[in-house]
Amino acid sequence: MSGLGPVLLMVLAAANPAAGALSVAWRPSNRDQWRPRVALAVAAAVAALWVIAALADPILDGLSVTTGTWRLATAVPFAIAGLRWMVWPARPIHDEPRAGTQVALIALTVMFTPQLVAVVLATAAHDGTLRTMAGVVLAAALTAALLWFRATPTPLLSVVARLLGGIAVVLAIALGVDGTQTI
Amino acid sequence: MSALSSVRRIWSGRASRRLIAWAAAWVVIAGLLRITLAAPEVCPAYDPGDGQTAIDAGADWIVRTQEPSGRYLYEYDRRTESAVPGYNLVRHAGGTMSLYQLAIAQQGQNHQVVEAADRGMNYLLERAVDTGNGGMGPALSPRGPVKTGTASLTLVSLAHRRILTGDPRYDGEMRALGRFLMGQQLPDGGMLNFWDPKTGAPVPGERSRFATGEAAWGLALMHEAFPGEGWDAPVWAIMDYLSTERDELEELWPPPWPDQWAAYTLGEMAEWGLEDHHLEYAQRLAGRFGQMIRWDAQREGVAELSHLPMPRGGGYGTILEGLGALEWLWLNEPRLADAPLRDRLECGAARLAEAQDADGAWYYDDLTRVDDQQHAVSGILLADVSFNLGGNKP
Repeated sequence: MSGLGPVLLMVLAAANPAAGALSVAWRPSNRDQWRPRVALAVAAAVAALWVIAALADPILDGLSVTTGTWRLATAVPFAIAGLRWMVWPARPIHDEPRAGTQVALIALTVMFTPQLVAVVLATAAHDGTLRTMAGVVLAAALTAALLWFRATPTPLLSVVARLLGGIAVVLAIALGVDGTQTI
Repeated sequence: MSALSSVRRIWSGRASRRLIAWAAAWVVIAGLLRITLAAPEVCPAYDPGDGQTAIDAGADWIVRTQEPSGRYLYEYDRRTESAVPGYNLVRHAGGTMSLYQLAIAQQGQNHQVVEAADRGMNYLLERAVDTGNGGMGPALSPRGPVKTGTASLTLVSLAHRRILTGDPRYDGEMRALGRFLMGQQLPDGGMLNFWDPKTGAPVPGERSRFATGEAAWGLALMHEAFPGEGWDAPVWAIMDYLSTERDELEELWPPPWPDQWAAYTLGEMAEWGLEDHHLEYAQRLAGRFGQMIRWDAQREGVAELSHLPMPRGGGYGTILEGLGALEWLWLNEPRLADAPLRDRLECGAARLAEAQDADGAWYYDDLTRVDDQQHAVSGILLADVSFNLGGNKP
């Protein structure tokens, strides 16, 4: 079992808030509407990820997959996402969606990604649910803050997104190796 | 504006493509993982004693195909219903070892197994040559080299025979085999693979990934049989070598090489006071064996496309032997954290038993070799022994 720090870093790297903030590139026309929508979408994603973390063991049992096997499998989408962020941190959307539903769904695509869900399952089953939930909160809070204030310069976000991508690749390799060494 | 055009207006543009790409990524990634790395691990139900039928049938194959001289049927092709030419004395010694293991577990009650093991042992001892300095080792031909592995597994077999019978008749041979093995040891703890009768010396520079662990197990059993005679010193040297430098020096990748002989040795050394680096090695070994069982258990349905065929009976059996031997270490070493060795053993034993042919053999491409039965029988025996003997090792 890993300590809290590695789990937080793992979930943070899988979420990559900087890449998420880069992909939402439009300037909100109505900040009074924008912020509640961001808050709602991030809260929904946190709730869903918390449920996944809390049910990690029954979910893996239902899939007939042991923790070690899942950690090995998680390494693949995690590493692919990391490599993509290193090369191409985000596909920015510049045009503001007209419908509030779309804003919320796009926020969901930022927060509810395959690699993040896989990592949440892997860390919750191996390192504990509470630590994983803490990681989800940290990643969600950073993502929400970046989307809420929209004050971070794009070049800086890009550097941070690439850096987190590199960390994701390293952690994915470690996760895969650990998966092969687990009994 | 119609409702349809309203929906089109909302779901067009870059944002919509993002949503579609996100959904597609989910489907593709989840689907690919499910048929490859995250395929379900299928473990047939396994209850105490379920392996007994497979063990008995496998051992019976070895016994009924043995010649009166003690020589085993080495390799058999069921397509041609004939023996394949060739013989390997290391595997002969391994088959004999496996029969004695089974005889211990059965407390000698199956006389056919005991008598077959004794015949196999006589075949080995008849071929033993003097290697100087009070040592000896069996060789397939009088002028052929003595292999460290043959001597090691002959020693293991004699040690098992001694445990079974309490008979000290072969103590002299055991000591001679032990002296031969010590003469094969290198300063770093590793073992040379051959002794050459022409030069009367070990063949320099040729190691074997098998022989080092086999020798370690034989010498560990010597220490158990004759404590105080110093047989533990070479075992410690070998275990240090295996734990720290073998994989890199012998270019075995990925590390650790899944060495069931090292696992047997670690099981024997459970009460010796292993050091932390030995336990760390044991954990890595158990992880390797466990991963191999998990990976094999995924070979079902569509996932058969992404998984290589099941290993032959001999190969799969070694995984169970390794896990079973390490389970004994886990049961006796409080410094090792709880680990699901038993789950993996049950899963592996059930799958291996299912792969057995009606004639008791494990075939691969219609061929079976004596060591397929040897390792499979020993592996399932070690998986079953905790059930049947309350954790007592064979």
